[in-house]
Amino acid sequence: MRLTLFAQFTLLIMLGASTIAVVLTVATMQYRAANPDLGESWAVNWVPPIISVSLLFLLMLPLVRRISQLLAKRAEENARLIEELELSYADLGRALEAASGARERMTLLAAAVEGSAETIIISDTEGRILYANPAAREVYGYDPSELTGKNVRMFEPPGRRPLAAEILRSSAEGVWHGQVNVLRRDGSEIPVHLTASVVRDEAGAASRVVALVHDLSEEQRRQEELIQARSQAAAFQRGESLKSELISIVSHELRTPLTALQGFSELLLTRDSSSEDARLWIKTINEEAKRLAKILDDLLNVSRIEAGAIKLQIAPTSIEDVIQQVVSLFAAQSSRHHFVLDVQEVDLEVSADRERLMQILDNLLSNAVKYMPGGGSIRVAVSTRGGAAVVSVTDEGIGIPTEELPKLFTRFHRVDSPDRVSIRGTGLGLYITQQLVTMHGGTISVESVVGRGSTFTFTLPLASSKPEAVTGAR
Amino acid sequence: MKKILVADDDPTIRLLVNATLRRDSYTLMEAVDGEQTLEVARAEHPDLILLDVGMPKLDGFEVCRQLKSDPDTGAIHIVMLTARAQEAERERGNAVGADGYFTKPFSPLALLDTISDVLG
Repeated sequence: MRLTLFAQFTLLIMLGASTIAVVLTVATMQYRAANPDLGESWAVNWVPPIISVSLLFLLMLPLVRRISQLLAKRAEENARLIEELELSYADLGRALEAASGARERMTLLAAAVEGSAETIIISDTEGRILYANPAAREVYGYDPSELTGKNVRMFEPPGRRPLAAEILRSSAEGVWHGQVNVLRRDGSEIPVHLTASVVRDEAGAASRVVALVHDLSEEQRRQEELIQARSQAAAFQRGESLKSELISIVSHELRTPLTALQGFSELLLTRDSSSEDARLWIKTINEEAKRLAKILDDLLNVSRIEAGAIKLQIAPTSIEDVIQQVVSLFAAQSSRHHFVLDVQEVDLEVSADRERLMQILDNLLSNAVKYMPGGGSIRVAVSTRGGAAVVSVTDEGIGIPTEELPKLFTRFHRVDSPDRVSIRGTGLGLYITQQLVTMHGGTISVESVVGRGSTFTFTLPLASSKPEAVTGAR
Repeated sequence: MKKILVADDDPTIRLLVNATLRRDSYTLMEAVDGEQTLEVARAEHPDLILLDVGMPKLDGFEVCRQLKSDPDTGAIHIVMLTARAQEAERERGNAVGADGYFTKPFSPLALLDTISDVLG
C-alpha cells in the first residue's frame, strides 16, 4: 500500500514535472514565434529543459530521501530478523542437544533396569504391576509380560500373614525393606529380601512403587548348611573330647590294675613266697581284675549312653526285692559296713528296667562303701511322694564339700581332696547313675556334710496298680 | 642299708613295690602325695625315690625338679613311675633329671635290676 502511494506520488511528481516542461516548451516556442530575431540563442534552447530537469530533481529529492529512509528501515528490519533467526537457531540447537541427552539417559536407564540381575517390579500405589524386569522370572517363575496388570498380592503365600498392603502403605511414606516369603508360579515358597520405595510425580504425590527383590533361598540354604556343619563339628568335637577323656582314663585308670596283675603274678611265678604273701597277692590280683571289669563296664555304659544306645525294658518291678538283692551282695563283701533297710510301704512297685535299677543301687552302695573306708552303717530308705517312689542311700562317710555338689554328676568329675587320695575311680559312676535315673523319668539329688556323710536320693515312677501284670511281664 | 622311698598314691602299687623290694636289704619308706614325698626326702635323705608321676598336690615331675635343683637333695637317685606311655612324658622325665623311667604296667624284676644298677 505504501509502495502504491509512493508510486502515485512518483507519477504525480513526474506528471507535474512533465506538465511544467510542456508549459515551458510551449511558452518558449510562443516566445520564439513572437520574437523571430532571437535566432538560435543558447538560452532559449537550453533554459526550459534545464529548469524542467532541475525542477524534476528538486521535486524528486524528498522522494529519494523517502526511498532511502524506507530502504534503511528495511535493512534494519532484516538485520533484526536475521538476529532473531540466529537466536532461535541457537535455542533450537540447545533444545536438540538436550533432547538427545535425555534420550541417551532414558536408554541407559532402561537397559540397566532390563538387564539388572536383581528383580525390579514397578507398580502403582495399589499394587497393580506396571513393569517387571526379566530377572523377575527367576524369582517368581512368571514371564515379565504375564505379570503386567496383575496385582502384587498374587505373591502372598497362602497361610501366611498378608503383607502386600502393609508394604505398599509403608513404602508410600518412604522405604520399606525386610524379608518376606513369596509364592512362585509352581506353588513353592521362597524367602526374599524386599526393598520397596516410592516414586513421586511432579506434584510430589506418591504415584509408583519400585520394588527390588533379592532371592534369599540360596543364602538360606547356605546358612542351613553352615548350621548343620557347625552342629556336626560340635558333635564331632564332643566325640573327640569324649574320646580323649576315654583315652586318658584308659591310659591312667587301666594301667594301675594291670600293673598289679602283671607285677603280682610275676612275683608269684618267680619267687618262693610264703603262703600268707601268696594269698594276699592272689587276693589283690582278684580284686584288681574285678576293678578292671568294672572300669570296662563303666566305659562301655558311658559310650552307650552318649550314643543313645541304651534301651530300657520297663516293667513293674518290686523295689524292695531289688534293694534286698543288691544289699545282700554288698553285705557279703564287707564286714565293716552294715546295712539298714527302711521300707515304708510293702509291695511297692516301680516302672523300671530291673537290671538298670540294680546298676543304680550298685553304684550308690559302692560309693557309700568306698567313701566310708573305716566302715559304718549304710541306710537304704524307700517312701512314696506323689506318683513316685523315693529311694535314698545314706552313709556316714567322709562327705562331699558343698562347692563340689553341683559338679558331682558331671562325666569324669572327681572330687580332689587329701582324704580321698587313695580312693580310685573313673568319675563315671554318678554320671551313669544320673543318666539311668533320668532315662526312667526320675531325678537324683545329693545332700552332704563333710565329715558326717552323704545322702543320695532318687525317684522312680510308681507302676500302675495291677499286680497280675507284673509277674506276666517278667 | 640303702634307703628307698616309695612315692605313689595308690596302695596297690605301694604294696607291689614293697613286695618286690622287701627281700633285698633295703630300708623302705612310703609317701602318698607330692608334698609328703618332698618332706620325707628332705628329712630322711633316701638313696633312691621310686616316684609316681600322677600324684595329688604336686606331680612327680615337679617333685623331681625341686629335689634335683636343691643341693641338699640333688644327689638322691630318682626313678619315675608313670601311667602315661607317651614319649613326651619320658622326655619330660629326662629334662627334670630323672635317673630312670618306668611305664605302668612294669615288670617287678626289671624294676629291681634298674634299682640295683642305679644304686651301684
